[in-house]
Amino acid sequence: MPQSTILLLFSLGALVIAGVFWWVWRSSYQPVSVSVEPLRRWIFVAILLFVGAFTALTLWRMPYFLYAEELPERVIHVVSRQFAFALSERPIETDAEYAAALGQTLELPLGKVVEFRVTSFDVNHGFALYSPDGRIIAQVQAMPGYINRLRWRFDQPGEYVAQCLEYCGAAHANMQARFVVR
Amino acid sequence: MKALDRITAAWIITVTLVFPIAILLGILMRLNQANVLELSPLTFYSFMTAHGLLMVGIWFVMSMAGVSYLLQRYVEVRVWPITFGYVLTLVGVVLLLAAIFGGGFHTGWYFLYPLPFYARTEEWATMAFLLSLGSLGVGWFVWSLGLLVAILRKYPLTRALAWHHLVGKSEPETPPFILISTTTLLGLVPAFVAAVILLGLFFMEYLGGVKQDALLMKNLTFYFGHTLVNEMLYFGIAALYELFPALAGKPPYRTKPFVALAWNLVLVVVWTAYFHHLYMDFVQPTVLQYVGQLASWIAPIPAIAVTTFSVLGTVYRSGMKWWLAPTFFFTGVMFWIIGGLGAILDAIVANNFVLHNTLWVPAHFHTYNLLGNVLFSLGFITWFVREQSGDDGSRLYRPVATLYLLGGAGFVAAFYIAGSLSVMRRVDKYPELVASGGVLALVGALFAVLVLAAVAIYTVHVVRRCWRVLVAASS
Repeated sequence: MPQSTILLLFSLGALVIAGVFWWVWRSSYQPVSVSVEPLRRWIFVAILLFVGAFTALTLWRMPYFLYAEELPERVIHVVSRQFAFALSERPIETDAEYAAALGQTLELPLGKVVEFRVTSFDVNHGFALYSPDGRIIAQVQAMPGYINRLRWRFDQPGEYVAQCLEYCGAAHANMQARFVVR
Repeated sequence: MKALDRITAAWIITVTLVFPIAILLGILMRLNQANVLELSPLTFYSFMTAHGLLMVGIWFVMSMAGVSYLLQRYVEVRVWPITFGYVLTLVGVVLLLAAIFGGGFHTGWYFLYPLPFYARTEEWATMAFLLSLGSLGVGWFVWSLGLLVAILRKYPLTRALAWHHLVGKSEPETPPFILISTTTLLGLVPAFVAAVILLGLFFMEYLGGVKQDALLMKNLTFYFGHTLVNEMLYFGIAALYELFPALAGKPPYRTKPFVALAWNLVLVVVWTAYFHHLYMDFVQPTVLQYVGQLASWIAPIPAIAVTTFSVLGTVYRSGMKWWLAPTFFFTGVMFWIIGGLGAILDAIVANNFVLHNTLWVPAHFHTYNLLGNVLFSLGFITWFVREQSGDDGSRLYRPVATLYLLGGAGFVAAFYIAGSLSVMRRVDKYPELVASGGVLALVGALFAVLVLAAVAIYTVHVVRRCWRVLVAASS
């Protein structure tokens, strides 16, 4: 779900909740003996249906299986270390390979599946892909001792930024890498 | 009981004095992000670490202090575990502040392994930080066990959990307050166990150089942290169940089968919802990610269906007299639900893919903490002050309620909007990538100043009256 849709859904929901509370609060100034207990069962059923429907709609859309049936066009190895990402088409296993890969600007294909194999040489980092218009389109964590595989297909050409999204120390805010999609 | 009055007053004074300081740290952070201030990165992240730990710490102990006080209505409460918790909390906080401000410890509340071993920190500060958490953990664990034992001396476990209500029996009645307190205290036990294992593993590496598994450590961290914060909310709800009907002039809430079912369900669900913190760790077994989303979505059902409905039903056409305590409880439930909505939207894995570690996260947790759980505790504190001094703070009602609620709503709104614009959390300065972050940080800071003003007025009112309780009880 795009972020703007999530914000819209949340805002509508928050307004409805606030409206119900405001209405009940106003009613407290006109006391009368009344029981709302019979409503409880119906509200419970309504909530259950809402939760069930929303779960059914969203549970199958897991990022772990994105493009699972396709062969990736390119495999990019990503190593994170305080406070830079190294991206390379070759595996990065040593400090020297990490240093050599730093600062390279990769060019990735438009409309093809790319697999990022993301890990860390020190602490936990986040590997978030920001589109050319500055929105997060995908992310995965970079964890020492593990390789997280993220598959993505870029549908918009331009310069993308990979930004660290897991707090990793004093210069965390500046931990970025850039690549171009065309 | 004088001793219980005294320790409760001591908790209230401590918490309400630390609260504005912790808010101030938050405002300074937002002003730095807005480029109004120029803090060094280490100072910023030290503030961030202190802000998170102080806020969770003070409101956890305050919600537990409220439950400890109200528990005397049903069982004999021993004061020594509470005092023990108080002393070890003070020791923990002193160590914590020394580690952060003396030793430059700046890893955030969650000190995510292995960051403490890589952060530019004085070496002793990591040890002081771990000892601080140990002190807090031992103090709170003994305190929780003290309360649990007090309950179980009178109510056998199955009765405290209201299992006889589940099968339709109505007698002997388990009061909702006992049911919620028991499920909450039981829920805390494994969280404390996880914390002990986590600290033990940290010490093994710190002292023995034994490397740990990062995925296991992350699971332990979030199991402990998530559960602690969740249970803190439920302590607040226990106080609400106990006090709110009387504030509305209604008879006490009763434990019906659906109430028993709801809180027993909460006990189980709360242990598995924490998986949503690890959605973006794709190497976590996928089945746990499904469990995380299901548990996160099931968890609010009992809360909404039981608590919210009960509170709305209590207020509807009730002729209720509104003053600070009922207003805090009532609006606290409203924001708890609104924050819960923000949280379950984030708990959908597909949404978390674009929201994880953005400001959407502090948006929802500030909504159900600052505007939810804290208000439940403030409701208890206001009620306690009236019980002890006869002063219901009617002069403060309009300014405090207006400033706090308006300021709080504006403050979290800035977070939600920023989160939807992909502005990241836990950064001292926003990169050009998310230029809107700075403007929204300034808006958030200005609204937070309103909250600080409300809290300053309220703190003076509360501390003066609780100090008299402390002195009177001592003499």
